This record gives sequence, C-alpha cells and structure tokens, in this order.
Amino acid sequence: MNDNIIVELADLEMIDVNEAKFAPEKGGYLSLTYKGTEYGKVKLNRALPYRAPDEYICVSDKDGKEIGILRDLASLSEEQKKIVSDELDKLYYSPAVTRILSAKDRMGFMYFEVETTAGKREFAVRDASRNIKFIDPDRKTAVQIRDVDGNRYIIDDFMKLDSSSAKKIEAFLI
Amino acid sequence: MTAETYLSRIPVHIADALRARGIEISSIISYGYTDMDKDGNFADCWIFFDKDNIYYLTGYDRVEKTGGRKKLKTVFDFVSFDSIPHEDIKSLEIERFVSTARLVAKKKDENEPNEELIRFSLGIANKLTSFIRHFNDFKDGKPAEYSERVDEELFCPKCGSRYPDPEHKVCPRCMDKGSVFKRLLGFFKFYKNKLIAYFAMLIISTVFSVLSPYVGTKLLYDNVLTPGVDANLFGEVGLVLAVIILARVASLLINIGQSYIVAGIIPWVVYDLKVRIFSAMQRLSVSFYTSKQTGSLMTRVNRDSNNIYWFFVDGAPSVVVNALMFIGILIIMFYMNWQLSLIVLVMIPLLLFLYRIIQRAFRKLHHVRWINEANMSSYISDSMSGQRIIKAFAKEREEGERFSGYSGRSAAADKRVSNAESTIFPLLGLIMMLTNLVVLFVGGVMIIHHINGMTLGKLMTFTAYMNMLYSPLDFLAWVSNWWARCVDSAQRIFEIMDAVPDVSESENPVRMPEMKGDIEMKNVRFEYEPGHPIIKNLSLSVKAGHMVGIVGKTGAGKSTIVNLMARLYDVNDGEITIDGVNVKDIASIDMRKNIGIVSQEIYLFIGTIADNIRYANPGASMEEVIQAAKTASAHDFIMRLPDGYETRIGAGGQDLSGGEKQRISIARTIIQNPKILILDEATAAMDTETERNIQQALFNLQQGRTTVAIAHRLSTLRDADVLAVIDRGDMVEYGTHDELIKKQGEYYKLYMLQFDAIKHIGIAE
Repeated sequence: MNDNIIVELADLEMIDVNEAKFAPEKGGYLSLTYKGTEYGKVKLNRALPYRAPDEYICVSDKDGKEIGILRDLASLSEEQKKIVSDELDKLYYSPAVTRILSAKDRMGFMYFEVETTAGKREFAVRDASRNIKFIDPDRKTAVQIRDVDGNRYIIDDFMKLDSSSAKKIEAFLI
Repeated sequence: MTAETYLSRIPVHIADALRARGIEISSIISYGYTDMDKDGNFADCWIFFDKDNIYYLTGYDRVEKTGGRKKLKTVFDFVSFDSIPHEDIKSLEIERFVSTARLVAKKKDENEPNEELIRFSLGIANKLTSFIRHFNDFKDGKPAEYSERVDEELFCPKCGSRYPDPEHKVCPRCMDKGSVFKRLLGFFKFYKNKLIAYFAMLIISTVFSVLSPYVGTKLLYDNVLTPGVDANLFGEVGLVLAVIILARVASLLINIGQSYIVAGIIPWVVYDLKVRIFSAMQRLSVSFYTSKQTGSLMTRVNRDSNNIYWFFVDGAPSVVVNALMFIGILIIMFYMNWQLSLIVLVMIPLLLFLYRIIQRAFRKLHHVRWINEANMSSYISDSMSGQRIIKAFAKEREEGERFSGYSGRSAAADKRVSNAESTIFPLLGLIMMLTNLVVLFVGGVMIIHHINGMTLGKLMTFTAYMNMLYSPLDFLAWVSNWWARCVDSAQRIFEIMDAVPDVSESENPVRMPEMKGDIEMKNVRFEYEPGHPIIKNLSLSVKAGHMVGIVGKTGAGKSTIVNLMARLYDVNDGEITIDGVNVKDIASIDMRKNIGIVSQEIYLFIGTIADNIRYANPGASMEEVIQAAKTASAHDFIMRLPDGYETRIGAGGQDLSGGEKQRISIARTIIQNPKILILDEATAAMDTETERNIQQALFNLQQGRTTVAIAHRLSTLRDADVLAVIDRGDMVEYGTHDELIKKQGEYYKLYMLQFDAIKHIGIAE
C-alpha cells in the first residue's frame, strides 16, 4: 500500500447514462436497469434542490442504498430525460406562492392567506422570522415559508413578487 | 370514545354534503381531512370509508357571516364526489415526498402494483394516521377503535373552520378578546379598593393638568397683562404664579401616590399569574415536557407575563389619562371658542391617519434593525464557540470578513431608522405648525374684529390646549397594538393554565401506602405519536422481590416500558397492575412513594448534597442521610469534598463527575425506600471501573425490592432472575440467562456480539 495515502476516499459512482435505463412503472414509481442489474423501484434525491435542481441526482434502491449519482439530466436522451424529470417533479412537487393576500399577526402567529400555483391557501406560521427566509441568503431570490404543520411553501423569486405581497413578508426576510 | 361521538365530530357542513350524496353518516367507519384534489391543487377534501367503498368529497370550505347569534358559519362549495370499492385493497399506507405525500392502496393480489388514491400536503400525513389504522384494522377484521388522543379536534366548534394550528386551538375568526380581558381582570378583584383609589387619583391629576393652562395662561394674559386692566401688577402676577406652583405641587403629590398604589397591585397580580402558571406546569404530565414546543413555551411565559405587567403598569393608566385628557381638552376648547375648535376637529382624522402610517413604517424599520442585531449576536456566539475549529482551519480572516458583513447590515439598518426619524418627525411638526398657523390667523382676525369675545389670552390658551391634544392623539392611535399584544400574551398564559394533564388521578384513587411489588403488564399497547405504536400487545410479569432485566436494541421500546410501569404515561390499550390494582386507580402519591427511578439522565437540584439526598423525605435525619450515602458508595467521596455534605451542587455549584452524581441519585432513591426500583440504563454513561463501583451500590439498593433494570451491557444484568428481550415493541424472548443462551435466539445473538467485542479488545491489548 502507498504510504502517502492517509485517507482512502470513498468510491463515487457517477452513473454512466449509456448503461442506465429508467422506466416509469404502474402505480406511480420509477424503475432502473443499470449495467445489467435490474434494481426495480428506485428513489431520486436532488443534492442541490435550489441551485441546480437538474444536476447531482442521487439514485438509490428501495432499501436506500445508493446506486450512483446522475451528474446532469442534460446528458440523458430526450426520452429518458423526460421520464426522470417527471419523477423529480412529482417528488418535489410544491405549490409556489404567487401572491400574498393577507398576513395577520395574531396570538404570536402569522396567519397567511395566499394564492399559489395550486389555488388559494390559508396557513399559520409560528415564529415568523425563523420560518420565513431566503433559501439562499446570498442570492435573495427564492423564499421558503414553513407553516405550523411542517409544510413548505416556496416563492420562486422574491424580487418578482408584487409590491403589496412583498411588503407583507419583507420584514421577516433579512 | 364511541363511534357516535367520533362521527359527531364531522363538521355539520360536511355531514350535510355527504347526506346529500345519499351516504348515511352512521354507516361511515372512519373519516379524514386532506387538503388537495387529485391534480395537486389545494382544496378541502374529505375521505371516508364504509364497509364497501372509499369516498372522496372535494370542495372548498367558505366561512360566511350570518345574522344570528353564532355569527360565523362554514359552508361547503361542492366540487366532486367519487367512490371506489375497496374489495381488492389489502391495506393503505402513506408515501412521503419532499413537500407532499400520497395515500396508496396495496392490492390483495401481490402482483398488482400499488394504487395512488389521493395526494395531500406533508402536514396532513400525520393527521391521517387514524383513518389508515381504522381501515387496516377493518381489513384485518378488527373493529375500529376511536381513541380520544388520536382524534384531536381539528375544527373550531363554533364556526366549523379548520384551526390554522391544531396544537394551538385558537380560531382566528372566533377569538373573543373581551372574555380574555374579563378573565384577566379577575386577577385584580382582591385589589378593588386600591384600584378605585388609584383611578380616582388618576382622574384628579388629569383634571389638574387639563385645567392648568386655563388658570395659568388665560388669567395671566387677560386678567393681569391686559393693558387697561387696573390692578396691582406685582400682586396679581404673584398670585397667578402661586396658583400655578400650587397646582404643580398638588399634581406631583398625586402622581407619587399613584405610583405607590400601582407598585402595590401590579407586581402582585403578575406574581399571582406566574405562580399559577408554574403550578399548572407542575401538574402537567411528562408528555407535555417532551413535546417539541416546550422550549418556546417556557421562554414565552416570562415574556408574556412581562407584556401583561407593562400593559397594566404603563398602558392601562395611560389609556385612561389620555382618553380623559383628550375629551377634557376638547370640551374646554369648545367652551372657549367653537369656531376654532371646528378647525382642529377637521385636522384630527388626518393626524390619526398620519400617526398610524408612521407607526407602521417605524415598526417595520425597528423590526429590521432588531433582526439584524439578533443575527449579529448569534453570529458572534457561533464564532466564539467555534474558535477551536476556526483556528484549526485557519479561517480567522474570512470569519472577520463575514462578521463585518453582519455588522455592516446592522449599521445600515441603524442608519435607516435614524434617517427616517429625522425626516418624519420634523415633517409631522410642520403639519402641526400649519394647523397652529391657521388657528392663529383665524383667531387673530377674531381678536381684531372682536368676534365671539376673543382675546389674546384666550387665543394663547387655546393654542396651548391644541398642542396638548397631540400627545393623547399619538398615544390613542397606537395603544390598540399594545392592547392586542397584551391579550395575546394573556391568552397564551391561560392556555397553559387550562391544559389538561394526559395522566390524571382517578376520581376514587386506591390508597396503597405499602406495596408488595408484583407487577403485571397485560396486552399493553402504547404510542407517543398516533400511528406509530412503540409497544404492541406486550405482556410481562414481575414477581415481588425479583429482578427482571430488559434487553433489546436502541429504540426497541425498553424505556417506554418502564415509563409506563411508573405511570409517567398512560397505556393506550391493555392494562398494567401493581399487586393486582390497575395503576390508573392507584393514588399518585403512593405510586411516587413506592416506585424509585434511577436513570442515566441524572438530575440534581440546586442545593447541598444533603438536601438532594433528602429530596424524597425532607424529614430524614443526618444519620439516615449518611447511611444512604454509605449504601450508595457515595459517603467516601462526599467526605473528601471540603464542604462535605454541605457542598452546593446543581447549576453554579461544585462540579461532580457523572459517577459521583449517579451515586448521589442512588442515595436519594435509598432514602425514598421504594418497593419497586427501576434502573433505566443507570450505568450506561460510565466507564467500566465506575460502573463496577456503582454496581455494588445498586446491588445494595436492590435488596428486598422488585427491580426492573434496563441495560445495554448484558454483564450489568447478570444478577437478574429473569430476562425479557424486547424487539420493536414486542417481547420476543423470556427466561433466565442460561435458558436463553441454550435457546440460541435473539439474546444469544446479542450476548455473542458483546462477547466477541470484548474478545477483540482483549486481542488488541
């Protein structure tokens, strides 16, 4: 063994797109055949869900053991790419807030009434300055709101929000 | 809970909608609320099942105002109704995604893929567990159990709309601020006379300050300084000055008196509140303290009582004073000159409006400043505690730069506040001055033309009153926020006071001052969180005077078993008896006296070692304390401490090692002299050497008691009469050490694992 190596690095399996075949199955899940092995139902996880939602996708088998990392969806064929993005869209489905209709401070909770891409919604936020924040404080674009039930709401771009909506939450966003 | 009560909790508007679709409520077995339709759009969706079908009712709840006494009512805007037969479904389960989850049906035919039934947001997933349990029980042929704990109230009983936060049962639509205030006033009833005196003084002093310009300015100008009024100038001036001084002194004295009275009432009311909160918290069960929001609750109690304190010390009196002043000044102004008063009256709404805007702007600016400061200080403490790491990675410079970023943002926020202050206040002053000018102009014209008996003195006095009007106006425009905050605080405090403990004493408790120590668990089921049973159908019996060892992997439910035996929680199903009596019926005082717990979490209270050992029995003599300490192998190290048994421990006291603390806690249990002893990983955190010392102490403690011991290290349990192996909430093996080794099952595996580990270390050494 080489004495200069002090740490043996873990194996990093970057998925070879030429050997991977994703297929949608009945019952709403995704299966994978990779390098001749049929993995059956697989799970996808984004490593960088906000900055690079289409890159570094971890693919693991049904027991949670990682099969490999998909470097970039762009390297997949059109057909495969659509299958994987559809699955990701389903897994990461989260209605985006488009307008804040009202925000009331009552009993130490903020009660919000918002319009989302999935319709109107009312929810309550505890400890608003902690639960309403920029996902990436350096870039100040996407805002995440967590309600008392643990649901997450995303505002895709704070700067594009209309001014009356923005005013209702700007005090919490520093 | 009976099926009828369970079904009666379906909100009326939903039950109506269901009936309208030909479904009888009484045929429903279970129901649940979800929040999305099939396409993932938000909606109010209800899911039900009866013996044949699963039904979805989708629509939108809408709160309507009605004229009646119950002012609000929820109506259901129906969208769709579907039903699917569940004949070929085996069971239901939830699949969680990142922000949403879905309910899937497993088919009876294993080759059939799962079917997605419905989607909902993640927060709903936990609330559907009872629906799923009911369904799966139904499929297993078991009747549905409607337990109280699982079906927490999700809907406001008054208007039927969903609580925004089910853990905080306050409906923002129906909250009655008046009743909270009334209840708060209840705390003042012992101080009625003092309060009357206080408000009387308040009124007198306000009248003084309202009248003083009239006496001072008007008399001075009109009766003394007016040319042509023939008078002894010095005498008159002196008299007016004397009146002014006298009025001032009198109002000063009254002010001092008021402060004394307030100081005599409010701190005691707040004291009363705090004591009641504290004892309410003591009454609550352990589960209250393990629930995740305890931390914020504790800090809030202090902040909330302070909010109430300041509102009553400062806010409420100011409301009275300012309201009186406002009305008094207006009356005098109208009495003096109604035309000029009308000009002022027109200005008031404009000013009120301006005040509100300014306050809102400032609140936001101050909030930004506050958050920036909080961020900065949390960054400082973060970097202080991370110094070793920062140095190790040589990141001092970068950290400095990051700090300058935080500090810069904080400075920018300060600048904004101060710029806003220096712009807005002069602007406001300008508007007030304009009003003054208008009044002075009109008043001047009136003096010249002798309209309505206007004099210079009158005009001067009038403008003086006008300037006095601004401060009550400012206050009244703003006090409603303060008031709302006080009510919020009071509401939160009452919430704690009203919380009902999960574990409560039975109405006719059985007194058992002397227990024998036979413990019997029969078919016990228990879950902390609905739908996640920790203990499933467990039966276990311990004979009096015996020692049972509980063995199992982390998370198997071992600690839960002993918590249930000590009745820190109540079982969901089955029963636990001690000497044949259900623990739910035993007087809690006897439970606490007869069951001693030594756990790996050692808590010693602030005080001397002797006080801590005596905790269970403050009357214990010094001889008993020393004897207990000796039995617990603690005496020797205690005597080596310079202050001996008077050494102060707990927060801020002498530092003791884990083993020393544990021995003190064992001595404490010895003084308690319980019939049943629970050892929950009592020596887990100790090294082998210390463990050996404590083992002896524990062995001494166990004599003549029923002992239930949990341990990771199997060697700790070598004295156990019998061992119970627990796995995932079930007892999988039961017997003596030799029996279980012979059986070569789970215990054997665990034993060999640990044995192997020891062998390995042996080789390495």
